[in-house]
Amino acid sequence: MTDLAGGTAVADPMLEALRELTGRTNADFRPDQREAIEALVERRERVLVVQRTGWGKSAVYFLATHLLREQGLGPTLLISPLLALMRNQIEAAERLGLRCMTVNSSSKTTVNELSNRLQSDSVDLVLVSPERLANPDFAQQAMPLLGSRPGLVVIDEVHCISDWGHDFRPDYRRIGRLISNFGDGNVPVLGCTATANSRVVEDVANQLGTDITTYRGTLNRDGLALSAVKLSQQAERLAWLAEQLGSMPGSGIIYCLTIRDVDNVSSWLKRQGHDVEGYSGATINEDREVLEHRLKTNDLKALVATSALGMGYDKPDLGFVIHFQMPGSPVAYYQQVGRAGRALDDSRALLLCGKEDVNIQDYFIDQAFPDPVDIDAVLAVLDEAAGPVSLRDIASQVDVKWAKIELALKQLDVEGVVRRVKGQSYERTLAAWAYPHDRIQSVTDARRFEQQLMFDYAETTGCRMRFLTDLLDDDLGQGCGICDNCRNEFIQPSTSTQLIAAAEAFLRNRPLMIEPKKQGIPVGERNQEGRTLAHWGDSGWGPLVQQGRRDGHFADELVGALVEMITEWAPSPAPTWVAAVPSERTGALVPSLAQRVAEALAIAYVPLVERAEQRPPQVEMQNSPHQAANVAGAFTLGEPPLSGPVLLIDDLVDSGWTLNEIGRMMSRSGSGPVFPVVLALALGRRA
Amino acid sequence: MSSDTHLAALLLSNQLTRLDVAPLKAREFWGLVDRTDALGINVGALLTDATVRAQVAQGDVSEKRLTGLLDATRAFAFEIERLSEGGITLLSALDERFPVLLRDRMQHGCPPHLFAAGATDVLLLRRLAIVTDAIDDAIEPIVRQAVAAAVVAGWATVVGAPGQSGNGDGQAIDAVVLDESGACRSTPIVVAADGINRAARSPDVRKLVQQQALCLVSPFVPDTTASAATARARDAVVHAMADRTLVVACADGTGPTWATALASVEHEPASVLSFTGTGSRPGNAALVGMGAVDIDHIDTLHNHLH
Ligand SMILES: [Zn+2]
Repeated sequence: MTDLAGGTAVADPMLEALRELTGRTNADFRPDQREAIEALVERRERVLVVQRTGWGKSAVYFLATHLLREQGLGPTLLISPLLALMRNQIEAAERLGLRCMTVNSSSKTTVNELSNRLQSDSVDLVLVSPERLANPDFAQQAMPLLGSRPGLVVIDEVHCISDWGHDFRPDYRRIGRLISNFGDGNVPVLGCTATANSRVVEDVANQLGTDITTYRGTLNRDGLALSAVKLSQQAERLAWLAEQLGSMPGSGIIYCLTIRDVDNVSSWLKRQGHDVEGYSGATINEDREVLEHRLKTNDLKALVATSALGMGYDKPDLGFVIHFQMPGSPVAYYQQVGRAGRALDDSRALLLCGKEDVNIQDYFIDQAFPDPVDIDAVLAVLDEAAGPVSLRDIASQVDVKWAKIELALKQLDVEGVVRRVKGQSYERTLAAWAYPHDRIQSVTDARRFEQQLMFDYAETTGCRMRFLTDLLDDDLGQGCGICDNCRNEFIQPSTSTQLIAAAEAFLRNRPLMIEPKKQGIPVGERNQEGRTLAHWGDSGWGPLVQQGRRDGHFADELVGALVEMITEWAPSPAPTWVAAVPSERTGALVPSLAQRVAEALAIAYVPLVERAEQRPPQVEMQNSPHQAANVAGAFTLGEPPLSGPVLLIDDLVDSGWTLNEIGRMMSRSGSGPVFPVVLALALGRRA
Repeated sequence: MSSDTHLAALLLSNQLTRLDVAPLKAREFWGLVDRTDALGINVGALLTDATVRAQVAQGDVSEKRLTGLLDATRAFAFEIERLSEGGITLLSALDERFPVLLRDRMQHGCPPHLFAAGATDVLLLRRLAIVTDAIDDAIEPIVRQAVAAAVVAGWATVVGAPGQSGNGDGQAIDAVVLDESGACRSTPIVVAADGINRAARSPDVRKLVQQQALCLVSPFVPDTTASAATARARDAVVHAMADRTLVVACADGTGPTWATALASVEHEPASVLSFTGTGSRPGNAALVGMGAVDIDHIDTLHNHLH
């Protein structure tokens, strides 16, 4: 639109609003943006936009909100799992004069405040996480207010609504039902996703109402060069990263599948002189903000992250995305690499495949749905209860892990089988219910299929971009011309045997902290923070620990490693003696290990802990109350402890309750502070 | 009746969502229904037609209050959705499944809606209410035989459930009726003195509801706690929704069983069957003296269930 000198400019309120929103006077709409806004505002349609990351979906819903509010309609409800990552967008919305309120687990806004603002009509945009939608306060207070006078409903990452999506979330399931109660059933709805194939689009459309207009852009990412290589051993991948990270364009993200891997990769790269930081679900909110900002301003070479840094993170000049391990689905993979280089001419996405990938993926697939046995156990408790039962009480009555109890309850809540009452308590409703075996089986099969597709992606000799866009039902027509297969240029493994050996040694020396249990144990009887040398399944020390348990004798190397770890750690006050956890199954294995460690440290070994009676191994107990109950009374002291600080040695730690119970007994009997030392962490090891 | 009628009726007495205006009390609700009937207007028309609202508004039931109640459609729909997800149905007094007798007998005191869960279809059957002051060794077999007689006649039994307050009235009769109904494979109607969620806190009751082996009914919002007042209201509903009420044991001139039975006898003596055989109390004979049907032997009960 050009102003004619002295003439009248053609009024285009939508474009003016866009320019205000973006703060750029020359901003213009991207393809489909204006059409989507018009469909929502002028025709009150239900709209699904399937557009690649960076297309500008937030401009659509902010402008639509702005225009609908000008027409006197109610506020917009935006449901997104990514609110914590939306700070920048919210600032932009406020430039447009939109009054936003966020209700999620990290915001301080209460449902009461929100209700008041809704009643006084002084909020334009309510941002809520899907989890909060399920919160009884929100459902009972805010939802009716919103639903009675809706302007627009926006469902971000709408593929989460579909069982078939790679990222299905139980909390999303109720959204379809919710919006059928909004307005007179004709509230405009906007669903957004960057990643959905035809099957998911169809499923989403079914759940949002039949008349849905879809705006689908091309998903091809110009200038994004894809490549993949199989490097089975973690050490090979670490060596490769150490060598190649510096040559990557700009700043980027290195994705790992687990928090432990994030820690390993980021520590290793730091040691190798790279400017990286770790970012995962374990990172506290304030740190996340700082880290996101540092990456955004290219103040870091890379963030090493789990998928916690994911959808919604906005950095148009992201230079590269490297996957240290293979994600479970090509759609998830596309979504993560799709963040790279939107505003750059050249960017890179590299997939490093390891041999541990499939195990981790299997774990995620198995964990995605609650096990029918767990569901039955949890439901049995609620079925027999006269009134609400707290999460803690449920946990004490079933031998199911906390996380699995929570997953089961969430599933049951969404299905209307249980209802959450005030706090963390649940009550069985009057609805009859049977476990949906068929639905869950078909979704699990779909996940297995995706997993296979990801392996196919890694091994394909065809164009990789075409492989991905085909899966998303977007026909590229021809090769991208820049992936490794198109260019016939492949990632070369590191040839530095020295660097690989250093990476192996690094992985072997990654002691883990053992946090003392606090629950139910008086302060004076708690253990100190302890150390474990390895994970049971780690490629570092794991195999030697496993072999030692098979042979009935731990190798000298392990004793040496323990001594080195203790020396480097230097617990304070310095331990003056060593005790061991006796085990019926492994005989003298642990006492002999403890004795050898004591000798090497030149302190006393006192064989005072004795087993009172045979119990099932801790690994067979699934949650804390059960583990604590199993341990209590299982051990006795054959003689009084020495009064100095002590190292308490065991070969494996499962729940930690054994160490805590023995430590507590020794403290009560007059020992000094107790420092647990363990060879391997066996958490989640299959019995 | 159209679904608009039900919705309008439910909205007018809606206690589920918080509103700026008070929901209509039973008396106000039925007064309004009378006025719409007199004007030949369908209650459903109130939903959309402002002129109709103006026509029927009267006194405290102002047009503003009506509008405030009727415009809360969507907010209300969420609550209905939540309830039905959890297995609870809300029956408006203008719904086919709503017991007509209840409306006819209670007139302007009739609850404008009932919450129901489980086998709501049995509300369409003819019904025998069983009430008693107490259950003892003599009374229990009488109650069991009464349930069996109802089953043979194809009637549903109606019984009051004790509220959480546990003030003793009707205590344990519901347990006997449930047990005997289970043995007869029949589906009783249990009227609660508290909200349905609370009434279903007992695992046994909840399972019967889930298995559609029981119809649980309450005039109160689902999380209401029982009180003496809700217990009285429950007793009135038990009597009023039943085609016949069998009074098994009743003290003379005192207690809730007497009070409710007396009111029923005064209005419709033929609807009250008073047991005067072994185990009955002085109040039973007194009720017969005032016009209630005499059941001197429980074997004769079936003669009155037709
Ligand atoms: Zn290519």
